[in-house]
Amino acid sequence: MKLTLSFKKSSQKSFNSIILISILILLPVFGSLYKAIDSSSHSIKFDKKVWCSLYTWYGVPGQPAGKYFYPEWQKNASSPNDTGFNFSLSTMTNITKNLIPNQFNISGKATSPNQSLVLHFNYSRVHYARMYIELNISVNNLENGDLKLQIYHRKNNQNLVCEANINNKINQSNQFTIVNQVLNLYLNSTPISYFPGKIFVINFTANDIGDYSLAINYLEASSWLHYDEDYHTYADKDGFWYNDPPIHIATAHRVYYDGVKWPEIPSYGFYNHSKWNEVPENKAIQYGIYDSLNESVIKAQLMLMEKAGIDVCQIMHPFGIDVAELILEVAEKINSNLTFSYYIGGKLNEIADVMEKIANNPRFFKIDGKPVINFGSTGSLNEPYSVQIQRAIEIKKLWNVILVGDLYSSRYITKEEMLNVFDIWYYYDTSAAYRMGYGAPDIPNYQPNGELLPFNNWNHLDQWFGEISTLCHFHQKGFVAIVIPGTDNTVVHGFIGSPLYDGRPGTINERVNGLTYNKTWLAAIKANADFINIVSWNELHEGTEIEPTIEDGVLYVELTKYWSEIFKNT
Amino acid sequence: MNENKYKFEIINKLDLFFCMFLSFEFFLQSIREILLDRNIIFELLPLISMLFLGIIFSLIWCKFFKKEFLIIIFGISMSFGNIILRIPDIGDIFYTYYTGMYFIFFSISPIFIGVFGYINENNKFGKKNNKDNKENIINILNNLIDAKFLAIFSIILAVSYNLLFRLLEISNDLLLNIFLSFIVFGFCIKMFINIINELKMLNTNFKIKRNYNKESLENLKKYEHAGKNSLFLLCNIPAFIWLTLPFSYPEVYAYLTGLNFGFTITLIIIGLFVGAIFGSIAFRENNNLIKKITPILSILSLLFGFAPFFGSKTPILIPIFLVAGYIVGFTIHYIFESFFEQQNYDFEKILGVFLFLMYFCLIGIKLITIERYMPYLEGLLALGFIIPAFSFYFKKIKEDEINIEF
Repeated sequence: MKLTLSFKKSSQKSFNSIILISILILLPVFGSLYKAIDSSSHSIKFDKKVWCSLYTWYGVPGQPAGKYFYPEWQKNASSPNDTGFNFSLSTMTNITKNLIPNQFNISGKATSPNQSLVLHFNYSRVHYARMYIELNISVNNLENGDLKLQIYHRKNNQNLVCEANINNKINQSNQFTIVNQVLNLYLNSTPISYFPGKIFVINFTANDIGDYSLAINYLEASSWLHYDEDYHTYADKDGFWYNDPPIHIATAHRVYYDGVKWPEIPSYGFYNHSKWNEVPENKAIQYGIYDSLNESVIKAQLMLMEKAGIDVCQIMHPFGIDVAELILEVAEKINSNLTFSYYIGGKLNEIADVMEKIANNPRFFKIDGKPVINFGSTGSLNEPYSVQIQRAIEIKKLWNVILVGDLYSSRYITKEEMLNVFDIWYYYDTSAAYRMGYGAPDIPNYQPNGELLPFNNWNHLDQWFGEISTLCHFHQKGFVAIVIPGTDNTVVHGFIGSPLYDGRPGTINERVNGLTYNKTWLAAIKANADFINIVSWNELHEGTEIEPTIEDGVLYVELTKYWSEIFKNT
Repeated sequence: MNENKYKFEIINKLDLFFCMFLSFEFFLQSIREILLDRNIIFELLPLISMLFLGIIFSLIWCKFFKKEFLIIIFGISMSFGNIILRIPDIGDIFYTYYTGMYFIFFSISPIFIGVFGYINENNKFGKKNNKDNKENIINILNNLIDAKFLAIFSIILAVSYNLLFRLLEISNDLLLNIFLSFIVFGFCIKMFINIINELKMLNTNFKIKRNYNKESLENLKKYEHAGKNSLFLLCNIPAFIWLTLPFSYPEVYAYLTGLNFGFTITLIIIGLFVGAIFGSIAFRENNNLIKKITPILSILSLLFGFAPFFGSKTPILIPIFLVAGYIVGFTIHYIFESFFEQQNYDFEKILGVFLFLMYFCLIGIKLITIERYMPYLEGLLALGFIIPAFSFYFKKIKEDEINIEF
């Protein structure tokens, strides 16, 4: 009897286990099936739009990108003590200083040759950037000999950054003025080791005995602040700045397209990718790059974008909201049909600025009345998902926006859990797909060591886009395919073994006269993308630009026009 | 009452099942948390070391102490790690992220070795060939769902739930993770209380009693089977790599078939479950149909590896995915079942080697593919399934011949 009872109990227990296990099995099956059916019945449709990334990092002194004008002393100083200068290391005697409106005067007497007038200048606002200094000085009493000008960016006369001889013998009655002499003071982005005192030193050394007097009419320091997506800047030991556009690419400054001469894109002038006082020999380089904030430049860019069939201009993390405001202002002046979105580097204060100052502008890109914000992950690649998602959740709580998320953070693992927060999703680095071999055999790509990639013939780029597209559409979200004309970022990141290798090997996806661009567009259309984002309009230093250049003319503008029409009609 | 049955009353097989199932799910999710980048390998090195250290630690533990405590300690540490991994960091150094990952990565191997080792040690029922049990479905299921089945099945279930959580967008949900972690924690505490009571009753401690009785010596004799069985177990590696990705990238296959993501996941999950159940039936019930179709299906599953070459939006791939799921589920079950059958004395050590090789292959494949697209890789992995499938086929034929002679 006991045995029978025990059997029954055991049987009942097993039966319960079976039921429990069956439920556990059926739950994922029915759960996934339910979700599949549910997602099919609520398919979402976006209006197809073509976006294009516009970079605003190129600038010149006086009109620098981001308008980081410095110093303020020239405008605001009320007494000589407010200038920020001191003379503690000067070896001349009888040093006097005097501040008259818009001019800073110093004078001294050299009792023996090589005595100096030294100006220590504290700066605090300019950080991790290349700094342009425009120095306008008047020099008197040069009949006594040459005056050597040296600029250092550290205490104790270390790290000489530029040197020039003011050697013109002039009449005492006339002032010698160095006008618009541009000194490029390159500072490394690593703030601690390279900015011990945040001091730079202007050192005027007399070659001979005599009285010297100088008037600094103005001094402006402005930064070419490269966004920290590349982790650090690249001023090397030889003093060259490597984060500039490649020498072989030069923006076309006078564009004739479609029978029309487009607004001129003025160049820097003698901009030469190297030291401040060298004039490039190559005439093409002399055209150089332009000033991103020049209104004529912006006007030309916006007009050409519109001509190319682009709908949305994505302003890529500019230095400040004022840059975006300026662009919107120009767009209004020329009555552009473009709309604008803003790419933030995942920072809340940036989005607060955007929402406060430009999101209400009628030209700001909106979907269902909500402003579209691109939430980028560049610069925070090592952040765990939980941190990034948390920040995105915070943004969604604070503002009613369409958040475009960057899959870049979850490299090689599509982490679609992020779609819970983001409304639209993309993966910024299409060049990686080519680099990994998804491309076509006729598009050469290179391995991290600089050798040609052997696995390069799969022709499966649409799968790269397709998998993200599938996830996005399943979760009722939009998908942006990133199309590129090619990439060459080897002026920023070198291949392994090259002096510019910084842990992130360079990438070259060759353009093959537009073939790469065409194939990328085709793959994006095949993968059923809702939006296409062209990377980029003008990221010259990574070699992804489609704007007119001396090398390619208007080829990519023309191709963009062709493909955007096909994309919108499919 | 049978001593082994008695032992399973102390630690319920469902306790082990839930510990293994949820721990493996946490592990799969934590793999998805890893930030993979070309230059991040040095930050990942401590994490990878944790995986391997976990194996070494658990093998040393098994030499001196009881495996039950291994499950309990690391079950708790796993649940703790899973909770803190979900808590976002503030600041630039990601303390909770790395701490959580360390806990999870260190705990998974001890749990794996602990659960499987414990079952291997205590489950002596072996194969069931009792035809009376086939009379009703409950008895058949009752035969199938024992501790061995549950332990193996927990891995497949973990993969399914991982996919389900992804579909429902709740993988990172803090409350859900706290809830699941507390389930693991609760089962660990339950096991702990039971064992402590048991130890008090028997007046013993948690150290292993080294009495070489008859049974142990019998097990030692089975050492000769270790080589053969190790090979079987190690054949499981491709299946595990597929699962731990998990199941490669279902979104790619969804795009290739033109189906939506949810349907593809459903197909894969059904394939896995059917494969696992058929694997178990085939092993225990000596089913002719299964033994015939499995090798054929295993060859078909090779096509899964060539899916990228079929072109996009090809519905013909749907049955192939189903078959691939079936073969993965089947292979895992078949290999572990045949391994449990021998009740090898060195089971934990072989499991340790298995885990070592699995991690090694998994990390190796990740590192190789991180900068290279290798669409034929799945095909190569699928080749690994053919060996056990055919081996099963021939083994069963041999058994049939013996039966005929009888």
